[in-house]
Amino acid sequence: MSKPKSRLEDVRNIELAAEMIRLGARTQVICYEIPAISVDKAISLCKEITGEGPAKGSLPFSTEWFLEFVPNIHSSLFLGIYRNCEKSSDHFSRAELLIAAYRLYIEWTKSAEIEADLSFTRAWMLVRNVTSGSLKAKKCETCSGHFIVDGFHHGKLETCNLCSIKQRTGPLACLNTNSEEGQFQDAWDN
Amino acid sequence: MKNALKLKATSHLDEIQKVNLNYIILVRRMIDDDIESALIQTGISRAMCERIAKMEISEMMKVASSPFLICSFNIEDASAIECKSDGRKGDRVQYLHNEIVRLSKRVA
Repeated sequence: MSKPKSRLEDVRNIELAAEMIRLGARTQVICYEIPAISVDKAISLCKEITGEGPAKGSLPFSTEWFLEFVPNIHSSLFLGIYRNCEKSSDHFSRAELLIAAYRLYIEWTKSAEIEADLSFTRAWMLVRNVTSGSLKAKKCETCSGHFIVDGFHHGKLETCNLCSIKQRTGPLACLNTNSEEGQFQDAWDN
Repeated sequence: MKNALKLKATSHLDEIQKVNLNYIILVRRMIDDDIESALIQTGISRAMCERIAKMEISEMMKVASSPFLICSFNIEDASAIECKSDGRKGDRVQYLHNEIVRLSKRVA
């Protein structure tokens, strides 16, 4: 565990962790992104902010979730916001970028009256998976928006989920229902 | 006669100055609130943000009184501002789709 060089850096790290907790980040995410925050510290911060202990159980590791119909749309939107944030700043850490992008995502969905489907932890998972290449964004040939596809997806993306929405019934209804978080969780096998 | 200046065109000076002032006040408020978020959302450079943070009201008004708009489009690709509409999709879905396309074009 690397020790923070200065008190100010220590304060900054705690502030970042606190903001991540407010946005709903799991303890594991905080410890991974901010190595200076120990597990104990993250748990006590979580108790102090939310008034209860951190959520237990495994992290949602599955990449399949990002390819499902509604989650795919939300994750593509989030990645778009994240990349725009990344573009306008070259000196932010990933934790800062995640916080900024997630805040924008939440506010945007709220203003559009769409229920936010992506949790902070899932958003983090998405960025990690895209960085590692397990998932990637591909340009839809019909609308030229970038959508999340499997890392092994070869060839062109002919139609994205939103372009093919005509073939589905009740598109609005399916975007407003909030699918239960944790439904598709894989085992935390570490 | 191509590209001729319309002789009767209004300069929209009044509106431009109002937008300029509103813009600079909004940016200043965003910077005062959180400079890092302001950098991301406005796309203005850090040096410029730091300068705006130090501006006095009289200075802001002087800058805003320019006959030219002090802000410009952040979107470079003209096709990114097109909003397609498809009656079969709901309004919100369309809104979401357009936003994804716009975001993608800004980083492409």
